[in-house]
Amino acid sequence: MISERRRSRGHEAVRGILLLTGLGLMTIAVATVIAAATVALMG
Amino acid sequence: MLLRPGADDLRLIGYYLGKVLLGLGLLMLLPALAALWLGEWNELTGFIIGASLCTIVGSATEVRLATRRALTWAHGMVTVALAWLIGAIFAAVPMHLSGRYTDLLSSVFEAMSGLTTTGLSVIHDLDHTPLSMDLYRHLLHFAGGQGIIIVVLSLFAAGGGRIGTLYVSEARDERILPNFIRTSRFIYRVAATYLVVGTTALTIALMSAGFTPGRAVWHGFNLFLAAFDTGGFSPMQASVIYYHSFAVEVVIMVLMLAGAISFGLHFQMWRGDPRQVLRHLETRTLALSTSLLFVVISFGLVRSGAYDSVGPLIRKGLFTLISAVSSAGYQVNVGDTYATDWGALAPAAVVIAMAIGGMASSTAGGIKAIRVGVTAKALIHDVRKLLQPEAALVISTYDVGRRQILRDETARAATTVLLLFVVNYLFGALIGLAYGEYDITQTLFESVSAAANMGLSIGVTSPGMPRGLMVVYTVQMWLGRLEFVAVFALFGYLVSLARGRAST
Repeated sequence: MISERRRSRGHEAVRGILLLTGLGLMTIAVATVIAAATVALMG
Repeated sequence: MLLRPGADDLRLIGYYLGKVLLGLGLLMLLPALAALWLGEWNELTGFIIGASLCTIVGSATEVRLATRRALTWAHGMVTVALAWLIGAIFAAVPMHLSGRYTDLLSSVFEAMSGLTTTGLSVIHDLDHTPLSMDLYRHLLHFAGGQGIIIVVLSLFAAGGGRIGTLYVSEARDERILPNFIRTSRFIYRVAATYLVVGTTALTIALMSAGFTPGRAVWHGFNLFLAAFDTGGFSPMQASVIYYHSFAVEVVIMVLMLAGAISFGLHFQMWRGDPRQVLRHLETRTLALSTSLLFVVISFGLVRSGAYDSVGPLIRKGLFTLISAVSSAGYQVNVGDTYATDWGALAPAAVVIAMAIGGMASSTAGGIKAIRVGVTAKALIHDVRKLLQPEAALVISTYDVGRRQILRDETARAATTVLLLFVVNYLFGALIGLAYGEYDITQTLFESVSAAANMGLSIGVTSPGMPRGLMVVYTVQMWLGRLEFVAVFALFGYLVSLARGRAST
């Protein structure tokens, strides 16, 4: 019972970490596109 | 008619304030142990004196003021407002005794900056500060960010409805789980998990940048505390620029984003439906405002000639923007670079990002995305009403985990707090201007940074800054962290004490 709960908590933590990392990398990717477009247009 | 609070009311407030001090005393024991381990005797003495003071006062209130009376909203608000103020004063004791601050006011400023997760610092010679003091400063971020009230009540309270009063008074009005104890436990589980993962990631990044394992763990741990709790204190004077590592900057950016996200959305990412994160009004407001602001920053930086390639725009521009939005305040620039090299447009965009801040019910400061989003929705709603026939019924909705109808009172509340923040920002800027030493860019930047609990500095905040301005920034940090209502309740309570009628 306890190990079941621990496993479930582990799963949700992994999910949270992966989603957060994805969100962070997506933000950097979108910013890179904006920065590249700005440099291309104004450079 | 105002009713004067009775002795029982004051007893109740004193009782809970005592619990906060006991919690603070416990917190001081951690750096005290570090000081003992490292042989930093001067700091050890300061921590022992500070912890003893907290314990003596806290225990005295526990013994003398113990009560079973339930907290009302007014009690909760007043207790929270006083807790942050008195907490900062007691937390300043070890700092003052360390001799690293010019005077007691500087120590209180630093402690308030730590607890409110602002990150503005007036410490002398940070690069040679004893490690235990460094740990203490970062732990203040953690305690303040996670809500010192929750820290204490999680430890001491048996549970029940009255805890909720304190929780909401702390400007965290989101109940994630059915009761507050379970909510605070969830918050701590999220924080503890990210503590392990974030510190590990930072340690690896720092080691790849050439740090020895011991130093990498130490810096990684402290950097995590300030990034996730959107604080901004740093182990080194130069802040994040000291590390010269893109990997470190990327990890910190992700951690700052994590700190800017509400615990309700963390809950959705951990247990619920991740799509709700994308539908949430706060996510959309932040995504839109941050994207637009980054376009402005990129344009401004390229136009001013500060940077002309993608790399620096990400490492300097995006990092600073995320630091501003999350209200972490980590810097990748020397203070006055914003004023001397960035032109006018990019710093203006950073100020706007600081002013907006992150999400409600997160550790971020500022107006908060939910209020900006609701105000924008209300504006669109009014325009829609104008364009429809008079008899038409116009209903606007927004998503905050569930679909809500936009009501007048919600829009009014959001707009009121938004305006109060703007007044707070302008107030500090005007006081700064009155000193005649700074221009409007500097005073507005620094004032917004203090009032939004941000921590980015354009160079105004320093150990030698005018003392009056230091007091103003301290009050701004306090007001900004509590989002006004609890502080106004405290003033109302003081007026009631002085002028109210005794209840019969």
